[in-house]
Order: sequence, then C-alpha cells, then structure tokens
Amino acid sequence: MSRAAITNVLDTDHLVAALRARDERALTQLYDRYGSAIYGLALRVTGDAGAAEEISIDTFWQLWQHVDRFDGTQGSLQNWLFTIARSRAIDRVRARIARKRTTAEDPTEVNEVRRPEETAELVERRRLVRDAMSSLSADQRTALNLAYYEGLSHSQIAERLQEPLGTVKTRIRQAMIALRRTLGPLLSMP
Amino acid sequence: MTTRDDIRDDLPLYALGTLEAEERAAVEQALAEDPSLAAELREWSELVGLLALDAPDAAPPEVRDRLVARVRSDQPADKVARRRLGWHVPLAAAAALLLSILAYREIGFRAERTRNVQTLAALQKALTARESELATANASLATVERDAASLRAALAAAEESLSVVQQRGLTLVSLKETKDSPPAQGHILLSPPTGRALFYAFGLPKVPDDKVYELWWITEKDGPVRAAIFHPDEHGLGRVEAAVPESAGAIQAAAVTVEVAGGVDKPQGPMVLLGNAS
Repeated sequence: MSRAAITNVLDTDHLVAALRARDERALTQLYDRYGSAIYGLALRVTGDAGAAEEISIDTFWQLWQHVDRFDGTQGSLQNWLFTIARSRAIDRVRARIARKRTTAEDPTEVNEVRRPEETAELVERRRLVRDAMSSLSADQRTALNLAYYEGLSHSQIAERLQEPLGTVKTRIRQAMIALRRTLGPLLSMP
Repeated sequence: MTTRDDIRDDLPLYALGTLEAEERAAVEQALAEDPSLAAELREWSELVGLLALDAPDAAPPEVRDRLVARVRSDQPADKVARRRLGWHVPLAAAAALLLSILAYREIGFRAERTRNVQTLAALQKALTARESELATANASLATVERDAASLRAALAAAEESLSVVQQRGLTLVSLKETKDSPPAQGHILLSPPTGRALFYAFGLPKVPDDKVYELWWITEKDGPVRAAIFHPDEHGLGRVEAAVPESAGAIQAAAVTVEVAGGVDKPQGPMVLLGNAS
C-alpha cells in the first residue's frame, strides 16, 4: 500500500470515528471527497438531476444516521457509499419503468467539472477507471453498463441486447476480469 | 454440479448483481461454507464500487448545502424537497414563515385586544349594575335604619312610659276640651316619687307652623308653670314627657294652650284642654 493510500486509510478511519461522535465536519469532508462521484453515479443511473440530488443527500444521510453499520473489515467506505447510492438509484429507476432509459449507451459527452474539494487522488482514480472502461470493447462496456447502471440480470441484458445468455455472461465476466487487471492497484485503497 | 471454480467465476457477477436467483443462492451457500471466498468477493465488490468513478458529473453546490441543512435540522428523508430549490425558494419560504409569524402575532394581538376590550366593557357593565344595586341597597338600608331609629325611639318612649307606669303612687289626671274648643281629650300619668309625668292627647287638630301646643301645670303657689310643648301627629295624637316641679307646691290642675312657636313662660293663647288633679 502506498504512503498516500495508508494516509487515506488513517484519514478515513479518523473521519468514521468523528462521524460516530456526531461531528458534522466529518460528514462534509466525506461529501467533499465522494459527493460528486455519487451524484454522477445517481445521475447516470436515473438520468434525472433532481433524483440525483436527492439520492446523493440520502446516501450521506444514511451514512450520518447509520455509520455504526459500516464495518471497515468488510469493504471500503467508498464502496459502501457507492453501493448505497447505486442501489437507491436503480430502485428509483425500477419504480418508473415506463421511463425511457438512455443509460445503456456510453455517455456522449463527459463533464470534466469536478469539485475543487475532491482530492487529487480521487481525480487520479477517476482517470484510471475511465481509462480502464475505455479499454473494454464496446460490447463489454454496453453489457457492463446495463448491469451496473440499470441493475439488470443476465437474462434481462440478453433480452435487451437480443444476445444469447451465455454470451452476455461471458462478456461481463471478461470485462470484470479486465478491469480487475487494470485497476488492481486501486483495490487496496479505501 | 456447481464446482468451486464455477463459484469463483460467478463471484464478479455476484458482486455486480447480475446473477439470477438460483445462481445467487448457490454463491451464498458457498460463501457460507468457504470463508476464503468472502475475501475474494470483497475484492470484486470494491471493483464494482470503482465503476462509480466513471460517472463524471459534478454535484451542484446546493446539494452540499441541503445535506448540511438536513443534518443540522435532523429532518427525516421524506421531509427534504424532491426538486432542486435554489436559494430563492428557501429565502422565500423563510420570508413567508416570518410574515406568517408576524401576521399570526398581529392577529393574535388584535384578537387579544378585542377580547380585552370586550372583557373591560363587560366588567364596566357589571360594575354599573353592582353600583346600582349598591345604591338601592344603601337606600333600603337607610330606610331600615330610619325605621330602626323610629323603632328605637318608640321603644325608648315605651320603656320610659313603662318606667313611669311601673312606679308606686301613680296619679291619673284627665283633661277635656274647653267650652269653645273642638272635641278632644287627654290624660296625664303623674309619678310624684320620680318627679316624672307622661301626657297623652287625643283628637287635637294640627296648628299652623308658627303655633305650638303647650302643656301647663297649674300649681298651688306659682300658678301656671310651663311643663312642655308638643305637636300632635296626623291622627291628632300628642305625646310628651314632662318633669313635675318640686318647689311650686301641689299640682291642682293641668291645661293645654295654643301658643306661638317655641312656647311662652306664661299662658297667653286659647286653652283647648283642662283637667283637675284632685
């Protein structure tokens, strides 16, 4: 683990401890660190800026209210937050299934704006993830996006793409293995 | 049959959430039986988490502000507005709230003032009624007091008369109208041992305001001696108490004359009643 990663772990532990002590400043620091990523994720899933805002707030509210449920030995805080946000966003989309979805396609335009409070480390992670996603084939990326952003199962993706189920599973598995190979160094970071 | 390698192949898909229900159940059973798979799953889960960083949109600044506001107010999630509000909406809401509070207070003050005015008017009306009742009660009391005074006076007179009547050696002197007087009569209860006498007249007409009836003792040594003056009531009844002179000798008779107001020392007016003491 790099010095920056170790520092980040210690910093995250400190922030979680502060959250448990009901220190509002810890929450805003974590928001500054992950807020835009969560908002972007929610916006990407829902396609609705209002919903993305609400999901962002609810995700950090969940952290504020239930920080005791976070167990650092089971995963990173970052992943915990992203999992909450993604789950809520997908639930919201499922609740309005009549809505036309556009999230399966790759984003046509990338908004590079970031909050100045975001750490340089997080910005670097963003770049690495984006590069890793770009390195996937279009078919892999489409299948992965349908799985991640829409929460579809293999059979649903196969139906959506009109592809055999086995083909879809293989594409997604290979995409995940490729990403792990590329992003492996980030997995030990919080 | 599902092998451990099959499970390991499904771990990234399990982490991504794309497995069907039956496949998920198989992975979860394997995770329960083999804790080493859990560590591998955590790594896949972290990888799934990283995918969120592929969404580059930045959150609007107000999201952070709303989060802080919610934390500070500790409001439940469903209380937060579901639409982007901007600054003008909360400001307008705050202004509306302030206006509502002021309006409510103003309405409250006015209502309270109206209630106070109404209460004051009711109190004044009640006070006026109580004052009227008090005046009536005072008048009644005055009447009662007058009646009581009259009764006390009557009682005192009766007691006085009784004290005279109850003495030994009581003498009665009867008086009748004189030749040219209207019909009338009277009597005197004399109590020589006490030197006191009670006179009663019946049927005497009223005299003018400048006149008065005067009772006289006709004595052996000094002749007519002034005894008392009196005014009969509307029924012609006259009553007066008089002292019996000690040094004028024996009382031979008693008479009543009509004199000027205030009385005189010697009889000058017409005699209306006369009676002998012997």
